[in-house]
Amino acid sequence: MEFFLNGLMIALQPENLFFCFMGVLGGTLIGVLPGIGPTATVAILLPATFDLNPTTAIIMLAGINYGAAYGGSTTAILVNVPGEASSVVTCLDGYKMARQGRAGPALGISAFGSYIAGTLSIVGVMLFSPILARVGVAFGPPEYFALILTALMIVTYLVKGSMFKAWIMVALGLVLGTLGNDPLSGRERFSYGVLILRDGIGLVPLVIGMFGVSEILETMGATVIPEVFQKKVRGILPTLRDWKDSGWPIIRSSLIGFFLGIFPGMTPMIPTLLSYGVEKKLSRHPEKFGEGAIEGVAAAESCNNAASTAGFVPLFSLGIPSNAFNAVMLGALMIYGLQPGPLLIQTNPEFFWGVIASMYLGNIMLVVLNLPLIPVWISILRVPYTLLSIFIIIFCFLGSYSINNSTFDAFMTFFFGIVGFVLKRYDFELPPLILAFVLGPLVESTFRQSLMISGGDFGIFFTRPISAVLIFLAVGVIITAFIKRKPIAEIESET
Amino acid sequence: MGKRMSIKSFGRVCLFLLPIMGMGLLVSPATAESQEVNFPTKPVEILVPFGPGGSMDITSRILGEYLPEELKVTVIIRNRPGAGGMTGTTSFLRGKPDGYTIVEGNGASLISIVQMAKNPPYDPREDLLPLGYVANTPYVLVVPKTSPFDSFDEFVQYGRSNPGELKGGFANVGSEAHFALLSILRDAKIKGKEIPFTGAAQTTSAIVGGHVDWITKTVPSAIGYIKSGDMKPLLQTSKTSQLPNLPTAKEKGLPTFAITANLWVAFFAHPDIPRSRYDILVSAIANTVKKPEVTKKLEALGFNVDYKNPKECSTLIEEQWQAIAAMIKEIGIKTN
Repeated sequence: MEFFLNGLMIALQPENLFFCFMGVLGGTLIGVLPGIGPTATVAILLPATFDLNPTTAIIMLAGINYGAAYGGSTTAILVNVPGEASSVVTCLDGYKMARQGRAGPALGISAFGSYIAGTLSIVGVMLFSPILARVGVAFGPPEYFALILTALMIVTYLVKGSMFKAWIMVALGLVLGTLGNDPLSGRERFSYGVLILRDGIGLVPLVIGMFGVSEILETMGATVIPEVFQKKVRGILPTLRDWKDSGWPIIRSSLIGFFLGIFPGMTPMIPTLLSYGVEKKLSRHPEKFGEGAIEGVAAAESCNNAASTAGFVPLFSLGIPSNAFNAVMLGALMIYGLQPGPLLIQTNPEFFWGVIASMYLGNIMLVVLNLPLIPVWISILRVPYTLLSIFIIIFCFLGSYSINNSTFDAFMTFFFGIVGFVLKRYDFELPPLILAFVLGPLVESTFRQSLMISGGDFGIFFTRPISAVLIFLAVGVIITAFIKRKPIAEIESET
Repeated sequence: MGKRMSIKSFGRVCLFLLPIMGMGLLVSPATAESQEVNFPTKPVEILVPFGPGGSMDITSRILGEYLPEELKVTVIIRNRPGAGGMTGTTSFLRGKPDGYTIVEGNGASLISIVQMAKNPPYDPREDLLPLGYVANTPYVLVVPKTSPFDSFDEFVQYGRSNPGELKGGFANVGSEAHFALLSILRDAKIKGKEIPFTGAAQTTSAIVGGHVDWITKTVPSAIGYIKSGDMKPLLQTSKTSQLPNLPTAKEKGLPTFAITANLWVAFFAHPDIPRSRYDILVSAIANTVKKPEVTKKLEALGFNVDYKNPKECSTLIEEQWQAIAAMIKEIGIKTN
């Protein structure tokens, strides 16, 4: 506690407070623009921060990261363009809410949810950092395999329509994920000797194309203007009812996000997917999920935020970055002369506690900053759609181009826009495809790594307790997915 | 009217200053290039064939911050990642050879990944002109703290008497760490498992968690774990100030480990660049790398700053090219 108060004093210094604010403000803007991510921004800013005090610099860079996590949900909710991979889950209910005229509550709950989750997660980082980091590395390839397999099975919970069509989408996602270099042997797959295909399909062109571009194509062909722009926008902030619905989901998702986020091999997609699945299972009206349930938005956004904050646990206490952004932070730490590794917190307590304390303040700033912005975002929806769609399309292409400065990626975005449009026309659901695309390569590499370690013996998945439990869980998920389906159909036929 | 006057007088001041600036250029040591004083006249771009944020990218950004002092124009950093650096390097070679774009390279993007490709898109010895070798990083072989091995000899002995038992981890196929692992196995005549991971972070996590028996890591990235006791160092590529008592590859009679396990950075120009422009760039890079601020920042990033001129750089590339070619031929690894 004494350490924390010291940290708070450091974070409250005017200079640190200023840079913290600049970080979260910049992060929010980056998060709102699709494609331009916090990782590239921080890499570009890095040389400019050389002359700052290391604590101040890291306070600002961390601010960019969690600021971007706040902003990432905005476009997902308003125009169905996820700012980052895990926002795909936010799109499911968030965009539906916006179309029902409830963009305000959706944005509001994701701001508050992120705030609560962020704060809970910081408490977690403070209390458990050194202990949990050791737990995190206990996960080897077999455990990761079992966990990701469970997440892949949870994809079945997202399905609204035909389960058969959803399986086709999962299969398609898995196939698309195998394109390009084999991550383990380096062998080329389906690249036909073309250099640019060696890296496979980028996630950003796929997601922006399938969600953003296809949405525009769909509305272009429609004679009716999307209802979101005609219906009166109801309410700016979440109602009491909304709070009641989302209270527990926020708490539960924060916990799931935090505890899974401490594992260094985790993408935020996995905990986000799991917590959405859990909320759908626990809900008294699971059929509303995917049709604009506020719990869905609350769960996805708070989990996402908790997981990204929890990523600081392995970074600060072991020097292991769990995502691309933290890898840049690792480089930054080295440049500032703070040797990352297990001794970082011990040798630089004022740095660690200063940054942690600044994250509390930064989260408060974000809520204060984001709430007044909600009416501004909603007013964007009042812009005539013919005009708005032009801007959305421009940002879609800019975003996908800017990732690798590659025109090929822009063409891919267009291509997947058309594919997404056709699939939607024939009632194929896109989220299972995206999720399978992200999880597929992870399942593949952890599975093969496990077998390489065991020398080809499948027993490795069952003799290690954690992986055995998780594999049974995955089997359980798939069974309940089939059992649950009948009662829902009956309820629907009764009403 | 007054406004126009002030513009006029400003112009006059400029006219007055120009010859003085010109004289300054003539007196400067770069007299040989005085015919080409008008290079560069527009921003120079450093093409980084890697993603933003890695140590390769940050190196370019550090140089990009100080190069303008030499070149007198802005320096732009452009990332063009993909295919382990081959996408960016290929697109660089397709560009104009006017010297306004230079490319960053390392052992993976120019040598090992290229050689592993079925149809190598370029040969760095012919298609690229070195501008200067900036820095390198030594490697260290580490084992988890729970490992029974306390010395490299114990490690080798166990590996030889238990073929196929030792699990070695490495990040990214074709990387420095991959060939470092292969060199150890080959030089020390050990047969072991090679477990690929998809990034350095996963490899670190696997060794701290004890999921693999050994890995190689750059000395600066490993030193924190060695100090905390989470990893035990057994062997390093060359003597380092951080690990003064640890045996080196040479001392243990391993011929290729030190050649392949070396994360170096160098910059290159298009082979058709005009000679005078090439010379300007070479001296600009040499002067920038030797600046104490640049050295300090690169060292903080974990590099061992060791400037080498284009000729020395070519020799090093040739040496590593031959070592890796021999290894690929022997083991038979190709990506296709």
